[in-house]
Amino acid sequence: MSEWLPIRFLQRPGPRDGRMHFSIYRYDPESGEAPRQQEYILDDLSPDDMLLDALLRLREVDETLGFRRSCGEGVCGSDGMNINGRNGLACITRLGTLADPVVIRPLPGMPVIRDLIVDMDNFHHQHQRVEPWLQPDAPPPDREQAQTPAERERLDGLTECILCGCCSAACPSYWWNPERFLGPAALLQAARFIEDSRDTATEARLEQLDDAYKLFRCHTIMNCSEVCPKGLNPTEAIGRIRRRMLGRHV
Amino acid sequence: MSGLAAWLIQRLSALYLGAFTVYALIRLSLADSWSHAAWSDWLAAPWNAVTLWLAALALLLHAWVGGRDVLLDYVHPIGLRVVMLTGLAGWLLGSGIWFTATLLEVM
Ligand code: SF4
Ligand code: SF4
Ligand code: FES
Repeated sequence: MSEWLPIRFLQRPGPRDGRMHFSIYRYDPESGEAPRQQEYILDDLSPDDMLLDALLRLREVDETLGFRRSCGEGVCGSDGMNINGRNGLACITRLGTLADPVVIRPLPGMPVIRDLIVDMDNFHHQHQRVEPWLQPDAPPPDREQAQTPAERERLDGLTECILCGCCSAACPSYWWNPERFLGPAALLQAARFIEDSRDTATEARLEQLDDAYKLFRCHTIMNCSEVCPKGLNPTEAIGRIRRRMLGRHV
Repeated sequence: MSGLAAWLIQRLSALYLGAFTVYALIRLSLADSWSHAAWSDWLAAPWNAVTLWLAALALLLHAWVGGRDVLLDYVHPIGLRVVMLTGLAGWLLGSGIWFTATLLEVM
């Protein structure tokens, strides 16, 4: 059962006879007590239950357990957490894929507000810094501004981000320099507007990113693409921005 | 030198160093003598001296970008970082001058 025994990786994942063990990070900064892992046991679980279902059941027993959630179906991005060492969304993570015990911690590298709830202000601030809105120089047309299918295709894989933070919270470069390195989520959004045919601020956007920190702290470690629960690829998006920067100079 | 420029220099210097290493290994394994005289002869050809000097330059630039990256990532107190960056720059610059001087001497 131990978290570190190699046998953990040989074990069949998911509940056994409907039972699973959970080890959940508990911390209330205001209490003055040190953070700890609290152990829980649940029965009558099915491998197809989502981790969020288990957490909601645990909260019925222990109403002090803090975590965020809203949509329950991988759309709102509010229940990002570290599940058995990997960032993901509890609502779309099947218990059947998880080794027992399930060790749950808050997203790494973000200040803890309480238990699994982290302070995402810096994350959202970095998102804001890429000015994530369309900046066309012409006044908006009276009718819709159509894109060709090819132009729209360039945005595939960039518009689907739900800003859950799983990627940035898995990125060592973001851990070391969260205030200066924008992080994979914000950079994916930068790419989304740089690639948009209707946006005319491309030059300024590329210019703004060309310093030692905002983009270039990325060392292509690829943790971000590895964990994104929506299957997006921020590493590739960052590569696209680099290529656009190169394109400006040749 | 920051952002894209530093990134480009890192890639280009890596390419040059890779190519030069292959060339140098082949050249060394084909040489019939590794004596000082053979070295001097080899370096007497300007093409060889320039290639070697460029390799040293590429190595120093590559080391600068790499070392700078490590310091920017991990050394956060600004004073310490400035001291270490200056130290690194000074050391690399000194090595470059020393290498150039030595090369000119033996050519
Ligand atoms: S890129 Fe993926 S992991 Fe990152 S914030 Fe968007 S949806 Fe979440
Ligand atoms: S590829 Fe870049 S952004 Fe993604 S985890 Fe690695 S360093 Fe971070
Ligand atoms: S609760 Fe909305 S993404 Fe999980």
